[in-house]
Parts: sequence; structure tokens; C-alpha cells
Amino acid sequence: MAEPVLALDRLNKSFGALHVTRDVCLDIRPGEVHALIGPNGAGKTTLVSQIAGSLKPDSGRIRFAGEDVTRLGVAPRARRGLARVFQISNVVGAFTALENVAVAVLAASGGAFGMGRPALADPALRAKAQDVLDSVGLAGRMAVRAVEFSHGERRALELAMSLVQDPELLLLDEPMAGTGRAEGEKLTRLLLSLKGRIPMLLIEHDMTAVFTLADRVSVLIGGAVAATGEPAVIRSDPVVRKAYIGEDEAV
Amino acid sequence: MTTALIVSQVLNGLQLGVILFLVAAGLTLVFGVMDFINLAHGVQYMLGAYLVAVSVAFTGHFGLGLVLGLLAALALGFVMEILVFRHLTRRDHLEQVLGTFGVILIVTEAVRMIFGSAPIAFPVPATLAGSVTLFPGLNYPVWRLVILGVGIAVAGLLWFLVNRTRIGMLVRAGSTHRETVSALGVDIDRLFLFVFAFGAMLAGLAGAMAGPLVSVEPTMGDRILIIAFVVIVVGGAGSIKGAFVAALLIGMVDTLGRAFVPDLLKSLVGRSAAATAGPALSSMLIYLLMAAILSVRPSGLFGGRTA
Amino acid sequence: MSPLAPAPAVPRPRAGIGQTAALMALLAAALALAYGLGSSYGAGLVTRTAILALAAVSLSFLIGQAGLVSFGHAAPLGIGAYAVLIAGEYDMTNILAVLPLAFGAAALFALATGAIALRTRGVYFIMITLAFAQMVFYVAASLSAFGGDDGMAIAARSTFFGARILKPDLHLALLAIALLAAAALGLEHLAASRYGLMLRAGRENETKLEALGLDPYRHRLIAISVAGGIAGVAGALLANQVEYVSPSTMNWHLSGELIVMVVLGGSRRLGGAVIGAMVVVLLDEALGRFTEHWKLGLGLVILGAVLFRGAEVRALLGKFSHG
Repeated sequence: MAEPVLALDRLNKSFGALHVTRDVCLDIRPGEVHALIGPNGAGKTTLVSQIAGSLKPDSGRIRFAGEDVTRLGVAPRARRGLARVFQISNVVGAFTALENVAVAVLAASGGAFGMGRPALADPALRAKAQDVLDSVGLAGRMAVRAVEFSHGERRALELAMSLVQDPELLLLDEPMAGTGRAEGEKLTRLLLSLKGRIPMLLIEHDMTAVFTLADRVSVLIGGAVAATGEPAVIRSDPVVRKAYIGEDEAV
Repeated sequence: MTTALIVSQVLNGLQLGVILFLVAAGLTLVFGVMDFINLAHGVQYMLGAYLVAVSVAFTGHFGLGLVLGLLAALALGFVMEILVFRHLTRRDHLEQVLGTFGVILIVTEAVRMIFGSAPIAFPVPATLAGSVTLFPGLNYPVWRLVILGVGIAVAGLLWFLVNRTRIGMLVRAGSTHRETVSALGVDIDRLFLFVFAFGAMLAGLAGAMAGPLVSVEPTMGDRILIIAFVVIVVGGAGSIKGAFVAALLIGMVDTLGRAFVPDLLKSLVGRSAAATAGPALSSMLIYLLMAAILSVRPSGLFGGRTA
Repeated sequence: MSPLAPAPAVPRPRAGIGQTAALMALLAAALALAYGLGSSYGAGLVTRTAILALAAVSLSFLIGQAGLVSFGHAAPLGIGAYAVLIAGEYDMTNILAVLPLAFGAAALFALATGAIALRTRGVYFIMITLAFAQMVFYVAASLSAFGGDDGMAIAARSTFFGARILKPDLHLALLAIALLAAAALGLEHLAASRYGLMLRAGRENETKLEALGLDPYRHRLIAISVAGGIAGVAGALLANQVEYVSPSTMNWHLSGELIVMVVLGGSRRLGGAVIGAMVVVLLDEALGRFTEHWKLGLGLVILGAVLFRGAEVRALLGKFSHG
């Protein structure tokens, strides 16, 4: 089997007496959609922060795209192809969709120091931005400022910004949160269209989305991985049912 | 370089340090509780000196005048918080800078209208005006020793308040977990009011103690304010302990630097070069120290937050 | 960090060019009027306005585009002024040497102190820039060869290969307006470029920019250096105008007043700083006629503007013009 895109090796993180990440081992195979589920307070956000690089683990190693990135910060990991879609949509609200995507394109291409002509007058840049906005269904919204977008649109925009990075891995932190039913389904279809091409780590509460998209599911309980397996297996795992799924009967 | 000279300069450095601490304490607490930057804190230092000078002259009694002056500084702190500062706490830093800069212009000019630009006399009772012989060859002014004593006593009191009382616990918690403190049902605005007024009084006390040593004039707070900023940056904003350590450090480095760097340079690079570089270097010393500490620890010696 | 008004749309920087041109025309017209009336005082005022506007525009680039609130912008300005003084003492007065020297020295200072200040954020950044500016103030005061605390007169206004081209005040005024126009247009251009877009993105949302793989540190360092250099040129012009340089040229109150200009005029547009400079200079002059305590009035205006928010000058003007 090919080397995993992302491999977490016995990660640990504590805040004072609170042990929030316990010996977490997790790997994401090329092309795989790997869902991470768990009840509130299971330590999902802390884990995501460690993967993204905004939080340093106390111990353990993180390998990404064939390289040990444990000591690297957010920006260097992003340059190696780790694209993060935030839990609370993180776009530049005051910028238009076009400008947002342009920022992502420039950040990815390293051409961010150009001081010559106006950035948005570059036809190549515009074309690339247009393409990617098309692909997430925002073609007609290029000149609209992101603050005026709906939740789902903002999520799609953020996804578009991640896609221009040509990511090795998409880190999706609860993408369905805050979206309506119709928007959620639209987003699921969008992610489905990317499945197989881009590996994803999907942190999600919405079980419909998880079981539609995921190839494998890991369950995080009390900071530790309680189980990893195919959706059908996880669905019937007694420990998982008891600790998590059984509680709110979301399946 | 005699022992007496060194000892007296070390004492001077400590004494500048405690004055800086009194100014920085209020500033750092106010920052800690509310993430509030108050440029007008130097004005409160200046007002303290004026208020005490005036009330001593008015009552004819030093102790009574000192107490009255400090109470007036405290009252003024309350008034200014209610009139101006509470309306700025939820604004962004740029607006806080502008608003408090406006306050500096207003208060400084108002004091100038009342008392004029020239320094006013600051009375010290005869018993405290002389000097004592610490050891043969070293006569040291009593007033400077008083400053040291008062400063250390206030530092102790502050340590007690911050570490051993409920309000101190809230202040400490507020500087690291502001949302949590609000969520506990603590009225953070009220907390800010008291911390602000108390800080104003501390700055006033510092001004009153510095009164006999420096000239009491409307812009006396400007210089001290900026050095207090250096103290806070070095110590770590929001930290009383950091303010204390950094204040003594800065006080010592500044005083000893001015006293000895020119001589030191003279022996190193010769008289003429030292005459040019000496004063420049000694006045840069604390800022270079700040730069050095920041390049190693961007949030200061005891700062938890980098924001 | 957002300015006084609720954040409006990020401006299409190109739209600022018309505004800049109109403001330059206004300054030129005021200058022509002053000469028409034979008022050298009025002409001096226009020159001073243009020089301060030059410094304010560069600060506006820092605050409005990069989101960096520097409270030490008087320092690079002072360094530019001292460059003129010190170069003059060594018989170097050629403007083609002096202006680049002023720009370079100020930019270098801004680069060195900015490299450290940028390791921090928010309140720290404000306090550190103020502290470094004060350091320069004390260093200047300790330069006994160049007047120490009192400062000293410059040897001569800058020359062009020996020709005393800045001797007539009119030439200096025109140079100041021309340099202001060049700086404003140059910075507009920069703001519209890829570099400018990233700078604004970093101002608006640094977390996202980092998640996209870009740490805006170097972008900001460039902005600080460029703004510092331009302030240095303003300082060189100021030294030429008053023909005297002293530490009080870079009194920290000037840093505060420059921020006031930027915010009063609106920091989202570079032209706002020019408007702000006009307002502050006129306010100082108007209040100064009534009372020697005009700073009290300035303080009240500033505090009032902050407390009652809606005080963006252009918003006020808009209200007047709409009745």
C-alpha cells in the first residue's frame, strides 16, 4: 500500500491537568475520505489544530506528504499542500469572491510580492479564479463581497480558496455546521465530486454527510481514538453506539 | 569609581525602578482586565504631583496634604473613567490610542492654563528634606530612601491584593481568560472602574514621590509614560510580577547606564569618541534592552499572551 | 483593526487616483491664491500642509492597508530632517543626494525597528513603535555636535549641483506638492498590486492568510520600510522649510497628530490622510488665533470625534452638502 498522506503517531496534548489528546494514531490513505466523529468535548478541535500546525503536540509525530512536519508552523504546512476549511467560515469578509480567490492563488503561486500592475487586471489570475469559482457553483457571484454571502456560499468560497492550492489533503472542520438542509446537500454533492481526487479528513457531526462521503470513520472519545473502520463496521460497533451514536440516534 | 558612588547609583536605580513600577502597575492591570491601552496614564502621574503639591500647600501639613491629594487623584480616576474611558474599552486599539491622546492634550493644556508652564514648587517637610550618612563617605537623601520604602511597601500590598483577595483573583483571571470571567457573572465593567481608579491613584502616588526630584510641570508625565510602556513590554502586559521585575531592571539599567557608560566608553574607545557616543548610547540602553528581550521573547519576560 | 466608521467596502484602489488628483489641484490652487494675495504666510501654510500630508499618507498606507498602527511615525520623519542637517554640516546639500539619503536612513531605521516590532501585535506594537521613536528623540538630543537639546539651523536649503533651487519658497512648495502627488499615486499603485492585495488580506484576516501558506511578515516589513522612507522625505522637506532641526521636530505628539490626520480623513483611502492633514493644520491655525491654549481645543475635537464616532470628516462634509 502507498504511504499515507497524513500519519499521526501517538500524539498527546494536555492543558494543565486536562489530557485532551491521548496517544492518537490516525492515517489517511491517498484518495481516501476519512471522517472523524466524536461527541462534543472529545478533543476534535484540539486535534485539528495540531494537524494544521496552530497548536504543538506535547509528544508524538505528524508526517504529512512524506515529511515530518511536527515542528512546522501553519504557513509552511499549508505550502506543503495542507488546506484547511475552518469550522467558522474563514474568508476575507470585506473582499469580493474574486479577491478572496485571488489571494489564495497568489499565496499558492508565491507571486505575492508583485508590485507592478494591478493584481486584478491580470487575465491569467482572473481566468484561474473564474474556473475555480465555477467549480464550486459561485460563478455568478464573483464581484460580491463575502460578507453578503450565505453560510453555504461562504463555505463553498472557502473550499474554492483551498482548491486553488492544489491540496494534498483537505482538512474539513465541520463543513455542514450552520448550513441549511438544502445547502448541506449541495455541499455534500460538491465534496462527493472531489472524492477520489483529493484526500480529505472530514470532521463532522452530520451523520448523513459522514456516511455518504466517508471511506473510513474514526471515533474520538475522551481524546483517544476508540475505533477506526469502514462506516458499516463503525455503525454497528457496540462501544461507539454506546458512547456516541446511541445517544442522539443520528444514524 | 568609589564604592560610595556605586552604592548611591544602585540606590538611585532602585528608586527609579519603584517609581516606574507604581506607574506601570496601573497601566498593566488596566491592560490585563480590558485589553485597554491608556496613553493618558502619564497624565495621572502628573496630576498626582500637582494635587499633592496643592493640597500640602493648602493644608499646611505634609501628611494630611499627601492623603488628601491621593484621595483627589483616586476621585479623579473615577470621574475620568466614567466620563471618558469606559466608553473606549470596547473600541479597537486605534480608537483607544486616539481618544486617550485627546485626553492628554486636554488635561495637559488645562493644567497649563491653571498653573502655567513653569515648574511649581513641591514642598517636602524639613525632617525628610535632609540626608543621612549610610556609611562613611556616603550621604544619601532621606526622601529617596522614603521613595524606596514606600515603593516596596506598595509592591507588597499589591502582591497581597492580586494574589490573596477575590478582586485580585478576578483581575488575574481577567488578564488571561476574559470571557470566562464574564461568564462567571462578574461585572467586568465595574471591575475595570475600580482597577482604573486605583491605578490612577498609584500613578498619582508615583508623581507625588517624584515631585521633589524632578520639575513638576505639565508635561512631566510624557517621559515616564513611555518608559512605563517599555517596562510593560519587557515584563509582559497584564503581569504585575513582570511589571515589578521589569521596572527594577529598567530603572537600574537606565540609571547605571547614564552614570557609568560614558566612563566605560572612555576607557574603551578613547575620550573624543566617547564624548560623542557615550550620551547617545546610554540614552539608548533601555530601548536596546527592550529590543533584545523582544527578539527572544516576543510576549515579554512574564507575558502569557502574545496579542 | 478597523477605523472609526463601520468598515465600508474595501475600496477599489484605482478609484483613489481621481481623488488624489483633485486634492493636489486644491493644494495648488490654495498656493496660487496665497501668492495672488501676496501672503507668504498663507504659502508657508500650504507648504506645511503638503509636507505633513506626505508623512500622513505614508502612515495611512501602514494603518489603512497593512493594519499596522505605528505610534512612532515622527521618528523616521525626524531622521529625514537630521539627514539634511548632518549632510549639510559635511557640505552635502545636493538634493539628488540629500533626499535619497533621508529616504534611506529613515527606511533603514523603520526596517530595523519594524523587524522587532512586527514580532508582536496590537497594543504591544503600538507601545514598541512609540518607545523606539522616543529612543531616536533622546539620541538626537544627545548629539551635542548637532545642537543637542536645542537643535541647530541647517547650513543651507538643498541645492541642485550648487544651484540654490529651493531658495524661493515657491519652489519648495511646488516640490512638496509634487512629491506628495508622487507618493500618493505610488502608494495607490502599490495598494492595487498583488503585493497590496496580500497586505490587505493580512490586515483583514491573518489566520486565513497563514492557512493559505503565506506569513505576511515580509509584506509588512516592506510596508513599514517604505512608509518610513517617505516620512523621511517629509522630514527633509520640513527641515528645508523651517531651516532648523531639533529633537522637538520628532516630538511624540507629532506621531499622535499624524494618526489623528489619518483617522479623521478616513484610513481606507490614502487621500483621506491629505484631507486629514488639511483639517488638522487649519484647525491648529484657527484655534491658535483665539487662544494660546489651542491644544485644548484640538484635544476636545479628537476626543469628541472618537466618542461620537460619526466624526469622519468626509461623512460630516457629506451631511453638510446634502443639507
